[in-house]
Amino acid sequence: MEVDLIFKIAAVGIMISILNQVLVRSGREEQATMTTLAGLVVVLMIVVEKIADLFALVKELFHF
Amino acid sequence: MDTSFRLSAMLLTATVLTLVLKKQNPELSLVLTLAACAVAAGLLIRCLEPVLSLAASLAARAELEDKLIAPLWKCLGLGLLTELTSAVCADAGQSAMAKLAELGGSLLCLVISLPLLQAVLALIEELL
Repeated sequence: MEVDLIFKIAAVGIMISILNQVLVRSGREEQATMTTLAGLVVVLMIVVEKIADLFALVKELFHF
Repeated sequence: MDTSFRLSAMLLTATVLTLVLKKQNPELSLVLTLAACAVAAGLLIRCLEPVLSLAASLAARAELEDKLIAPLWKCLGLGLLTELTSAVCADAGQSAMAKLAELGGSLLCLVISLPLLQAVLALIEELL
């Protein structure tokens, strides 16, 4: 279960870097930056959810 | 036993993929590290559950008030989160933030265990 999350994030990362290269080569630098930021936001949404789960687990287990 | 397999498999994969992403996208490789550490910590905490329940039953048998034992668990959880935070910050090269995370963790642990100190002082006053 955990490993596919890592693969999902890595896949998004690799796709972004490819898109970035394509856009830069075709002369659209600003769109390349936008794509990178969009990808980062997508990945952050996933990771923030995982961290929220971790905090909830700690809070429940250690009687915070 | 399978937990250790899952843990090491996940962490090794994350490490390799972090290096793949490092050149093109350094910030994303840090987010990948953070995700891997968060999931690994979640996995480990779930394995800690039997230990905690055993300790709680022992404390109950020893008729220790929960007020005395609660700071112990809080400090344990706090220490774990602090360790995670400072490791990820140090990994990103922000050693100042890592040091602050550790400092914050130890200070908060001190604040949490304040009632314990007061209980000890009260006990000593009774003895005198």
